[in-house]
Amino acid sequence: MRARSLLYILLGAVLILFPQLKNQYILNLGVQVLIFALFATSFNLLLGYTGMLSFGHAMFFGFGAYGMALFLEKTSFHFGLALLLTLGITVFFSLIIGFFCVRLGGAYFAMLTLAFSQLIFAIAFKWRELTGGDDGMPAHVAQGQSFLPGLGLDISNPANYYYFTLLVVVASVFIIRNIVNSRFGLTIQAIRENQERTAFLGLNPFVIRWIIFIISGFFGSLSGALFAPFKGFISPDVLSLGISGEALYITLIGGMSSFLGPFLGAIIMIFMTNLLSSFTRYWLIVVGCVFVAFVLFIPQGIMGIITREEGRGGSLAKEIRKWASLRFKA
Amino acid sequence: MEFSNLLVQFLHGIVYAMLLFMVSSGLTLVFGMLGVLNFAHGSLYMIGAYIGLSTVLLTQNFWVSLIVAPILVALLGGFLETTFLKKTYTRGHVHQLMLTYGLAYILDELTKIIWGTESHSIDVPPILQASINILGNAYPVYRLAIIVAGGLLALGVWLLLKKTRLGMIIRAAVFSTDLVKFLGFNQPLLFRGVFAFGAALAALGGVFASPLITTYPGMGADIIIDAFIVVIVGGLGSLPGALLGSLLIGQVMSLGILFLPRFALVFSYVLMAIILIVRPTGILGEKE
Repeated sequence: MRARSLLYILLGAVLILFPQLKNQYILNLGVQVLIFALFATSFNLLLGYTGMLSFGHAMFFGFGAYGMALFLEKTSFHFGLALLLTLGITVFFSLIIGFFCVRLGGAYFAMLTLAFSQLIFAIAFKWRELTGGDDGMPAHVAQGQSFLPGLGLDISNPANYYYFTLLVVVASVFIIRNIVNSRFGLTIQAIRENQERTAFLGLNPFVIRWIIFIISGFFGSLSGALFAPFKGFISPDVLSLGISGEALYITLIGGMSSFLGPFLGAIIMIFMTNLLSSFTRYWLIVVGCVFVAFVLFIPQGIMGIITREEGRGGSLAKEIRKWASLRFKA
Repeated sequence: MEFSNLLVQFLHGIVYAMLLFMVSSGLTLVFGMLGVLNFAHGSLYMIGAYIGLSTVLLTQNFWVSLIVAPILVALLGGFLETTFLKKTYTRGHVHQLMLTYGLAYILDELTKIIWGTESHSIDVPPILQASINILGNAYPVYRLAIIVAGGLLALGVWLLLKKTRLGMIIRAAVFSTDLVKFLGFNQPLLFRGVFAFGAALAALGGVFASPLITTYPGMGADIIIDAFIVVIVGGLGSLPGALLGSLLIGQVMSLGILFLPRFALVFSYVLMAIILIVRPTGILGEKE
């Protein structure tokens, strides 16, 4: 347990002191890490805790990003109101989309979520008058605007936006953590382990999966809503399969079924893609190798290594030996 | 809309369906038996096309490439299975997905390093360069040849699975891999064989596709999602399902472009969504 609490303290200190570096580039990476950590955490609510693999999680990110962009650019609504409306609309759509998706199992669920996210991608791509199509659209916070009317924090300032994002992300993760540890949270984990038995206990897996789909969509959309004003510009890329994939890799690299996992995963992914692409043309090979290495040698993710002393997960050397013996025996 | 145009577009749809079937038949077999959703399958199709390209440049003979490419890609597939996938069979779909996605990244980039980033075209073999007249439209014989080849391939794979002892073992393994292992069959070899066979089929598709759509980096990524849709629409693990799914997706895409070009992007997704809402495990899929 010591390693983990030390990690929490270290992470907390880094997160709070971050903007004091006064480095715009690193600050931007920090905001991205936070946003994608929240995005992956919302995804992990489905995958890690309920056992539902989605290929379409980008649709929520896109709802949030396009919702914010549209309200900020096409109306004179305040930032807080825009956020509220965006999240409300997301809940409405996840209610409908979830109804169709959650009845399906395994790969079928994954592919139906992909279908819906691609449909929404196509709408954003084709509806030029509203979204600007593939040219994208701006998403700016008005100068001097605060998060809530009357609150002093000017979020058009990058450092303040960082703190605002940090606040929202930490609060969200805290809420998600409470959901997972609640009675309902135990129920979704029961569904992950054995859906049939959960049904025999008199619970309705359909309704529970539906609810968790909506909750996951809510927080996924929140991360997208933070992303749009941060970038100041969005395009249909926010709805692409690549974004859905990002959620999966961050979760697996960090470690499923843990809360610190997505944060560590997001740090690795964001820094890896940002730094590698400036070093070498063939950075995708490195990314591919990292994926392969994680699956083969660190299947529990970074959190698996950290919590090894608690008796979960095997040692790295052992994993490599196991792989080698399998490989060369054949 | 003239009927003859419709017919031509319909034939185009069948041609694309046959290419899709070559990719998705391997995909569905590998899923049925190994339980792996193989994202790298599109890369194998692309590498097949590139090996075909090099073979044609070397020997000036299209037919040789139809033999060389599947064999080499089958070897590559067997290597990938034993080196990487073998260890993940107990880990579940999610890890395998990330693994095959990583492999797809690596294979795609290596392809760019070896063959460059430009697109290349292969000439249609001389015997098939003619066109025939279909209701006043000149239709290339090569496309008809793909339809015939796809049909023969589907028949061949079906006969292999239904009428041979090996096919019976494979079908049994799709039903229960443990059972087959306990009956004393060499399960690792069977897995490697099926994976390599699927890879060979994809490579064949790649070689056939090259004269039509050229060989380019990204051709794997372009077909893999369609192939996944085919496999899901038809029902995971079902070979007749893959054929049916291919024909459906082929038609929806080619007739869709004719009637509603603005929305061509989403036809296959709409079809998949409708089918999954009506039949949650695909048209011919078993209930989970």
